[in-house]
Amino acid sequence: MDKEIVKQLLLDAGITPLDEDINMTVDLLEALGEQMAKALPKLMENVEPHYIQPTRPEQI
Amino acid sequence: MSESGFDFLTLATAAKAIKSKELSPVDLAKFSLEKIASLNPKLNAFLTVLADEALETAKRAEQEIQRGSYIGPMHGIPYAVKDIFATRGIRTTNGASIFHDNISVSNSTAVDKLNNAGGVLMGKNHCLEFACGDHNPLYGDVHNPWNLDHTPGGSSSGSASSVAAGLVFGSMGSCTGGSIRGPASFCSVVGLKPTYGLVSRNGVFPLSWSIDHAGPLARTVEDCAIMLQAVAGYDPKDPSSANVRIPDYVGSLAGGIKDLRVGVPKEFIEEADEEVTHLVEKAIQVLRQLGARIVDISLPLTGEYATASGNVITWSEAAQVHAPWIERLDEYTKGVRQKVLLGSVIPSGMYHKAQQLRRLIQREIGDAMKEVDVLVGASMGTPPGEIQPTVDGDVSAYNMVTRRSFSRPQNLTGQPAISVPCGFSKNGLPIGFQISGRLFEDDLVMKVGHTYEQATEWHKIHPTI
Repeated sequence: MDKEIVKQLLLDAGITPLDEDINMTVDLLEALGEQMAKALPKLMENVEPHYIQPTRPEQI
Repeated sequence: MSESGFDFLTLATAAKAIKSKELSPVDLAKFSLEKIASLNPKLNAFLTVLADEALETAKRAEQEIQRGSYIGPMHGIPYAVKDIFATRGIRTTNGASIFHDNISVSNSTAVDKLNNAGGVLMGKNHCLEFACGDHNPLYGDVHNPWNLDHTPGGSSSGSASSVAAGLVFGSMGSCTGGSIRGPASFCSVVGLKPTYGLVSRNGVFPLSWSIDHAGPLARTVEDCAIMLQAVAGYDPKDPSSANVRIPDYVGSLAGGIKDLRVGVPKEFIEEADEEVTHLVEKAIQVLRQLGARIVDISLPLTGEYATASGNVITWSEAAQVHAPWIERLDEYTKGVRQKVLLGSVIPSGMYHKAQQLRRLIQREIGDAMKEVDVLVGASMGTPPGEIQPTVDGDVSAYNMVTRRSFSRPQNLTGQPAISVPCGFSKNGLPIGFQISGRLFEDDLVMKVGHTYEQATEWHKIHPTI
């Protein structure tokens, strides 16, 4: 994700970022993205994400 | 019982003495207050001390017991809570400057339950800012009673420090990635992260809804079991609360672990430093000598993805938790601010992928636990490091997203996990041993911890400050 997009997302979230905020956020996001990218799409096939549990009958 | 005998009593021993009227809750509360007054200037483990309220509660407990209305083992016992647990009419700072004068309008469910069990709330323990900060310029750092220059860990820093130093018998902490087990390991006390949904988080300031847990820290496993007995149970005020039968946790501790299958995932030890590895391996040998069957296993997906998945989920959810205060982000410390910024830009696709990985980790550990009864490993990868108030917030945020955590997987799966002391580094700093189990088998996890603890002496060694 490039710096302009990160800046816009932060502005959209109500944050006025400094340049150093944007740079560090990009760095952290890249670090996380690299770790997540090791999980290839094939690994994710037919895997339903975890959601907050437990589900209880009275919730519906 | 004389005051000189109060120091480092276990909660269980104090409870028996209170029940038999050998020990006065008022004397015990006074002793606790004196110890807090004497040592808190060095430890900074309490942000708020409730001296008058505690003495009033202790007097009431004493009167109740004198007239034969003994409630149970928490009755008259001094305890504390991390300062993210709401306490009616009392300040709850969440470790943050923007909540410096925040007075809670109601109690968290855990505080209500401990009070209803007769506990004497002594005060609010210092914690990391919003349960995820670093150095705290407003409230200062909490110090480790084993070496005041070292960190007690976080985020339940004050809870672990005050329990280890004998200021209180137990304290409630919270855990999103190891914030109970980490400080317990660093301070040589016991810390239990219960099964997700077993202990209500109602009134506990959230960090990450789908991963947050609340649980006790105490000086022995039995003491943790007594506290868990008081706080466990269904709470309609917490949407994640589970409606399950609550077993007799203290009664489940006995019986030994002969023929219990103990899994040792290599991923729960590798990357730990040499001293930690050595002591954890020695602890595993003790379990073997106690009759357990040790089984070497591997959890490759967990080892590879738990840290990344946990970070993506935590900071995505944390950004939403903090959205109401986003205009006051400049009042946060840099490390916390940076984590909220990160969470604000994590794409939804990455968040859902992290939750898919979480599902895969749950399956992998669930499959492994068809073959073994508990998993063991390191609680933390190192002994506690020196306090470094000058660490840059960016560095701390970067370390958090890149370093493997031994405690993160159990937050993703919701499994119960406990840290028990297993020795000291050559510099005299504590090291903990982690045991985790199947969902809602908190009793078995504590039984293994208790059996190990009773076969060793670590819980009998206390810091001199």
